[in-house]
Amino acid sequence: MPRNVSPGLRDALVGQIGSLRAFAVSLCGDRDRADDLVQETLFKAWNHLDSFKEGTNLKAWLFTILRNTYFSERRKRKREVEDADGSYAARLSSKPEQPGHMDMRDFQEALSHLPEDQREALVLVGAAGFSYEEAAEISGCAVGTIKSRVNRARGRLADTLQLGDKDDTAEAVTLPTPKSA
Amino acid sequence: MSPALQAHIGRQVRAMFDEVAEEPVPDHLLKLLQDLDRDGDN
Repeated sequence: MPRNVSPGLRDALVGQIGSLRAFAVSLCGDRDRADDLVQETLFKAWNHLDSFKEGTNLKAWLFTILRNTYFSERRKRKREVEDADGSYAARLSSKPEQPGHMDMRDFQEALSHLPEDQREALVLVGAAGFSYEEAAEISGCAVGTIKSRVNRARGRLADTLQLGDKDDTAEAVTLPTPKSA
Repeated sequence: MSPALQAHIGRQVRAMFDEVAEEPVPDHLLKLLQDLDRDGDN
């Protein structure tokens, strides 16, 4: 049982639920499962509040719990059924959450086809507001790894959505670039 | 990748994320914390 939780810390936990849900949806692509993940995260967090140092980054701590919960469940599940990234994409396209803007739907679709580690990195850095260093800590990898995942994610999205650098002549390379190394 | 394209992608990712993040918190999640809090008082 955790020590008496200060109302401030409790409110801070509640304040992170929205972001945790958004992160969970981006990981698993399924609203219901996302809420299960958030529920499990809150439960674990509550029971381990003793190990959280008040004043440190609560959001990063919670995100770490959530992604570790997700990936360890996924590993278990994966052993049972070889259910790779395809199922995520299928879930997203079979039940669109909202009609939404066309751009947004296309974007969601493209994001769902990214390799999981790239999607995670892009969401942590590009949407959840973490620094590369924080994202690396959350994902348990090197800062350089996070940077390259984010770059590859952006590159893939740009390719999939055919977002060219049309008006950026400096970078619009039309000739094949020589492959060094 | 140009800064403009990078910014465009950034806006899209954020818009997707914020759409969910800004939804009202489902009651069952709030209730979970209340229940845990109450248990802690015992």
